[in-house]
Amino acid sequence: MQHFIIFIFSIFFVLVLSFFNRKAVVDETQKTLRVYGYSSFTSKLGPGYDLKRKFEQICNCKVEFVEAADSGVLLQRIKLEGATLGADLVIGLDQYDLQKALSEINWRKLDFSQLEIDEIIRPALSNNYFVPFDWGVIAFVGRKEDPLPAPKSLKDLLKPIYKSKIALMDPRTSSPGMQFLSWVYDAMGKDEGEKYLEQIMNQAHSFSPSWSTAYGFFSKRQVSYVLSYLTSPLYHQLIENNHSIEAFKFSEKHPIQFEFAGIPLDCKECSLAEEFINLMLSDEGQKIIMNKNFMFPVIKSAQVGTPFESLAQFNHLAEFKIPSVSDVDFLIKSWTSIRRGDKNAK
Amino acid sequence: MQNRNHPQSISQGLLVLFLLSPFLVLFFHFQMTTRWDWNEFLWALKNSIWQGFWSAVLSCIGGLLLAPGLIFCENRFSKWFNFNIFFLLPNFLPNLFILIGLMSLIDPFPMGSVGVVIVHAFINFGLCGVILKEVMKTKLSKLSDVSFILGTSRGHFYLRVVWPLIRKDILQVFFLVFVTAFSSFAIPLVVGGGKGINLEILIFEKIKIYNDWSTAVLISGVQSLMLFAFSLINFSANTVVDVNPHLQSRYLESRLSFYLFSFLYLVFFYSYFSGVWEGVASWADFELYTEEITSGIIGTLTIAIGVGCGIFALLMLITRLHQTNWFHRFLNGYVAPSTALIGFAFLVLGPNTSLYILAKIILGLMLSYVIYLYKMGYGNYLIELQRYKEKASLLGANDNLIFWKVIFPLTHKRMFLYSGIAAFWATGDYGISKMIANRDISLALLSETFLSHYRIGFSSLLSFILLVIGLLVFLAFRGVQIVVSRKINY
Repeated sequence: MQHFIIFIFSIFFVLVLSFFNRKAVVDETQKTLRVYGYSSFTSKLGPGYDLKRKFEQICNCKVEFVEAADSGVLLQRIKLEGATLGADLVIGLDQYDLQKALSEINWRKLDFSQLEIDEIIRPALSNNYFVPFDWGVIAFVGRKEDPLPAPKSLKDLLKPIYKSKIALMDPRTSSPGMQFLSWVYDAMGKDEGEKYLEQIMNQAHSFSPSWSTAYGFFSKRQVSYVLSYLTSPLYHQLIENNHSIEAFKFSEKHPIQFEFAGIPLDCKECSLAEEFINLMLSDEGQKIIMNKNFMFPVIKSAQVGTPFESLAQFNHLAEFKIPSVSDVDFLIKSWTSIRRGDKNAK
Repeated sequence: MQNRNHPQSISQGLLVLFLLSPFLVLFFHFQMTTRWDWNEFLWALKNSIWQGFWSAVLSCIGGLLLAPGLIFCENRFSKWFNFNIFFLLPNFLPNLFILIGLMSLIDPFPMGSVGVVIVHAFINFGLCGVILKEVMKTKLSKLSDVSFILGTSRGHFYLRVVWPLIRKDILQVFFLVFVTAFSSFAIPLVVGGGKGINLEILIFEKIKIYNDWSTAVLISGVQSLMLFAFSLINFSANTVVDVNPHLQSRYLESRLSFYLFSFLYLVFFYSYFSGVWEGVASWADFELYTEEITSGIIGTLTIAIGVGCGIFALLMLITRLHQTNWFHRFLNGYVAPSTALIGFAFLVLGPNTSLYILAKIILGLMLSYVIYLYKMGYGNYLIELQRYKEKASLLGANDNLIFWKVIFPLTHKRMFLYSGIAAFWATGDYGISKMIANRDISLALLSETFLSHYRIGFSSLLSFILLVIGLLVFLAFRGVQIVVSRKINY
């Protein structure tokens, strides 16, 4: 038994050492910039990895990414660790998270009003604490070869031919899902929007907890349409050489989703955090973000000469606004009560 | 004898405290000011019970039909391959792949509570079949052969012999699935529809929508208490420890069941493996992400082996401290809180630097699994061994001697088996790891990240690699068990 215990502990010890080995070479004199975000940004698949490499070449510092499952956990994590370990930069909050983030954490003021960005997205710069670094247009995506006629409006989605053909997301767990909910209310108003949502509950194939699950249903042909981004077909064209995926233009103006970066007030490496944001907003940084996230860059020049340029001409866009905490609260509570079939709930 | 042993009682108390620690951490972390709404609670409770009940009924029926097929293949092919693993695979696959496979089998797939029941039943009936196969083999093999020789009809044998002898075991399996389905989260969220909301989703809504952690913790606590009360119904089954491997069990085996279920599973896995094959086509990604994948594999192995060893240590401790008093009733009835609550409890507890994160994930998974494994049959097995302890005690052996010379030789195989299963489960964990980890430290997390970057094929391939790693870790525990068994026997 003793041999067994020694054997197992040896294996475990070797694995733990291997696990931490890649972090072993650390220059103690270097400063560390701690960046909080989601794995879709910070992983090697996302833009975070390339940005980190670029930044470390010029800053004489080390960038450490800290991931969180969702915005709630992200904010809790910053509250827990911010004071001790330091939280210098937060990346990936969307417009529905901003007010909540402002109410829970104190942020440094940022001024990027002089950035050369597309006028249609300028309102995203109107707040004093967060700066947008990419944006996307929410749209339904389908296949060109699909025998069904392409839907042209939100109301089209209620037609019997689309029954169980559409994958949507739960707005409580997914930001595109939240965008869809807001899209419905903005386009139809409160009363009609609620009626629409009651009908779409039975019409949709599923309301997945994440965009990736819903897109998985679409990729595996369980559904014909999925709520995604105007730029989603570009991934299939550029990476898979598949030109059969298309995004549909709806008669209702399409919502825009922004991703923001912000610096907590009790940051430890505040100037490094600002420099990192500057890199993200540089031409080079924006190209990295665009090519990895398949989202539009906020700096206009970054998309010139790329396949994103023509798509960015899409101007059938809803007005951008940063919803208040009570707006978000209303949307989620309303959705929850309709989803439960509890019409009388406030 | 039970009351005079104070150190033992203290150790039992400490172990119970460890298992209750997520509740305690959250209770002290948040101010307990709750906004309790009876209507929504009762409504979610009704759904939880409905989903749990029918999932358990269907899983048990499926398990009962599958068990004779498993006995057939064990009698015929066990020398070449362990088919149990094949039927247990749905327990280890990510939910998305299960759903896609099932939606290929059942088109149109019924969303809502019925859909939740179907998914739960599909995931669990393989497990029920494996457990019931073991029960049938150990309890009924001899009687089956005797009945066959005496010319009893198969129907008569099942009605008069099988049912009376295994109905309590079926109830136990029912409870096991009921608990799992009752406290399921991801599946009701995807296929449950709004009207299928259960207690776990209500807990999630309290956290996500209302930021009301105290009510969430309270609902989770009440949920655990209710399941605990349910567990007090006495359906403890007696197990037989030994089985003669030469018995034929003719009345217990069914060729039809084996081929039918194998066909069903093959159709299901066709969809999954076609996804894996698509992933093989994007093999070039392996070169691009070699470092991440290697790191993910090491992280997965570390977590899996850590959890396996931790579960082994916990089972040893439970075995050492086990008594058929409140301690057994607690372990048999207690249900660990949801992964979100366990994850958050460990997140707020202490620092979140690399080594702590790894330790927290391993501890969180141990907490989550050990109670489930106890209910899977380990607890009943310990009760069965009580008589050996009593005999040895009467002969004057002290507790240490009883444990090392009597109980451990009898229990170590099961301890290794359950540790291997826990390690297998841990390879695929996403919920607790995602909550605590600060980067993609395991292959399961990496697979999810690939999925969020349109790469479903490569994600399928990674999930397949996860299955292989899980299987290897499981077999490693089995290998160590064989070595330990030899040492004990000599």
